[in-house]
Amino acid sequence: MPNAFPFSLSPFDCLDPDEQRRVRASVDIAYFPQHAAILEPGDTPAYLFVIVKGYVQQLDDGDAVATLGPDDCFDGRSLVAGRVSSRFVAAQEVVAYQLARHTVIELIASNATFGALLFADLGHKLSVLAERQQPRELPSLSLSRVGEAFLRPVHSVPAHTDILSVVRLMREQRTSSVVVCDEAAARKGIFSRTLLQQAILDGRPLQSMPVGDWARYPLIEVRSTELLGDAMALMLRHRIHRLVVEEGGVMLGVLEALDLLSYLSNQSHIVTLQIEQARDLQSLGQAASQMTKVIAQLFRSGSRVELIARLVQQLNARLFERAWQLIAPADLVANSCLFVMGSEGRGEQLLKTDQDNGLILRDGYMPPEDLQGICERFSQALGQFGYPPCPGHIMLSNPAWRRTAKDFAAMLRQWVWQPAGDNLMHLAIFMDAHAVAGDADLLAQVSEGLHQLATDNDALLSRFAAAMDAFGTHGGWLSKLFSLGEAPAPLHLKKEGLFPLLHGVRSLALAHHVRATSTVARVQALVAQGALSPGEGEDVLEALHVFMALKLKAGLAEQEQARPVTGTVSVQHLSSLDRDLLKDALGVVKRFQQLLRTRFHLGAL
Amino acid sequence: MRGLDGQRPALLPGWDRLRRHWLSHRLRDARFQDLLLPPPPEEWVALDCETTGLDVRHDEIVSIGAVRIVGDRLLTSERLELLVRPERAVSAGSVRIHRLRSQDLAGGLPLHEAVVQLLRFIGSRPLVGYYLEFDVAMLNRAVRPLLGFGLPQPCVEISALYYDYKFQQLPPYQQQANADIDLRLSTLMSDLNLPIREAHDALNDAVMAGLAFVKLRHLRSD
Repeated sequence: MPNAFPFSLSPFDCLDPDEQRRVRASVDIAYFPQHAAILEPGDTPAYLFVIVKGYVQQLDDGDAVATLGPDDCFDGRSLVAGRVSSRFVAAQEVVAYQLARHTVIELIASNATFGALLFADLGHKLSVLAERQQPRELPSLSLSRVGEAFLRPVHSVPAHTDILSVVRLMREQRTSSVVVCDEAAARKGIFSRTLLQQAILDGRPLQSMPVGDWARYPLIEVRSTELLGDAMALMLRHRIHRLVVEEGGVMLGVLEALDLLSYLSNQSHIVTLQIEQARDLQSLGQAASQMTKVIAQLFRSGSRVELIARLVQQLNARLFERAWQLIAPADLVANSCLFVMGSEGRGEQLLKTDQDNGLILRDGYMPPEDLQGICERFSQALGQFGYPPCPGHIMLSNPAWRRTAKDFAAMLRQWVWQPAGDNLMHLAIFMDAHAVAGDADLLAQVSEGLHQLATDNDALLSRFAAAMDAFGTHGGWLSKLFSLGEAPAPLHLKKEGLFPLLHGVRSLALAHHVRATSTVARVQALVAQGALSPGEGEDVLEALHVFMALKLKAGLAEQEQARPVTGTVSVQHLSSLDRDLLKDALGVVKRFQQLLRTRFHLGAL
Repeated sequence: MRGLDGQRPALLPGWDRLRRHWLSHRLRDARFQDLLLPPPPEEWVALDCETTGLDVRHDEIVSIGAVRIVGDRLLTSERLELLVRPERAVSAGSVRIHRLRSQDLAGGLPLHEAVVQLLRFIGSRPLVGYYLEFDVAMLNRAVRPLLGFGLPQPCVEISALYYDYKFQQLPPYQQQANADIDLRLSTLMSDLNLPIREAHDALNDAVMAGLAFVKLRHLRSD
């Protein structure tokens, strides 16, 4: 049976044949009846265990912190420390391989990846995995640096150059754009074929028209060390097709959207174009239907989930804006702010979920008489695009979420003064509000009011943070994770993992005057302020991304089988690596909840 | 009824000592004196042989797998895996079962040498196996000329331990009749909720028998 040792499992899958032989030569098999203590704190560890059958519980001070199942290994950490710090008990009778300590130490010495995978913290584990996956998978758009992509040479001309000469240069150099240096105004811009069309239509003779009049300012630049995924997000945000790549103030080249996109055969660019060019809701709907495909492609090609989420946020925002522009009259668009909330607002949505949105009207503006109809048409259109209506009616078709700036501010005050039930959840969801169309200042003003109201209200903060446990499943995940019965209940990723994390971060953000709306930006700000230690911040973000990735993976699989997306995973169907990551991430949630309970004195409530 | 170590109780007090004493008089080769010492406590050896067929008189051993058991642990790191060179060519039918071809076995040991190594490995520890009687009979063809008698160690038969365990669990009315208990190794392993590995590999089979033994000891002591 040593020949049956599971070398296909992490961390053993990185061993070479010689190292595998060493493992086979030194592995024993142990049997533990139910309730037997396998390791006790203070023991000197002699073996690394790999479970063949049965389940083992890890207990810290009598608290179950993890349950390990078939193919899991333990306890690498204590093996190196030379001292066992947790209690490991057979929850069911266990058959396990036991690998002698000296062999494990030898393997760590000869194979750095093995050591890293065996001991790494969650974050470290992920980065080791990312490195290992790179050579095996397609070069991923979002993991590569801008400097690695195909860059076109930069051609720059002074602003006074006439357009005819510029066109001649462009033709000679076979380039579709030039950088325009305006010395007098100390600015740089870009001139491209699209702008040339406009210049020709102007009617003045081209040889006497300075290119500086037509260039687009300012020049959008990107550093060569940025990720390509970020560069793509930048292009989408500015609705441009070129970025100038610079390094230490020197222009290295031009990154063109098409080059960037042909790097991978993904269709996100096409979706963007479809959205931009849509002249009616029907063609916009076609673009929306492509999005899931694009997300699946990016995910399978190894893109990091946080970058996909950011891309999705940009695409959704463009889609919603376009739909709003097609439905609402121009003066309504100009005198209001359409915003999205919840996961969409935080930029953490991957697959389409319920619409959560609202509309702020400028004080004193008289909206069109048919405002209700316009808003209903918008909500319907989103429904047709695949975003189901919000069960709590947090949509602009509901008059409660469509108010003047003054009324919105009053509503927020009421929520803060009566922080109970729905009001608390509304407050939470509004904190994530992100403008997508119209005048973003309107939203900024209302949000600013919220922060001024809320920040010094201790009772509000505690109650707000307490909603973290709203789903009431604290501690319950352990038994669910490796339910010892035959059919373990599926684990609800949002309830058990995502929600406690993002709401906890939201609560801290409210308490520390952090205005950012995405969890990542909030954590970064909290770490910068010292409200979270860098390690805590990193753990929280890595755990968040583990949950998002698992949720996306499970959701894509469900969609492929034409089943409804449930947001759950069945733990027994996860790979041992995913299970490992999930376990670590759930451990982070538990520690984070504990931290917040202390921070907000939740025991006192 | 067998005891917790799988042995039937001795008929007379001091019987084992008497038997060892008698055997040591008949022992041909003093090198194997250790085989007759009292066995170390809580130690056994799980054993399995692959053969060219099921005829004890004419078929030959092609491989031997043995694993020491100490308490609840199978010391697979100190296993014995031997290939044995048969005197006659291996038939196609038996190759299909154990997948060892004549050319694979060409580098194997002569049976005599393999048995010497095996006896050293086992020492005085009791043997554990599944239908062990057959393996012991095959081995004894080489053991008898060496020692003057067959393998002297006590033998623990897994299928017998399992039968006793299952029989006890039957309701009384079924215990009367000839209880029908499935003793196939795969049935036994899955009923005991133990991992099943590919059969017809001497070492795998020995490990599976060893695991079943360890578990059955626990079941019977609970």
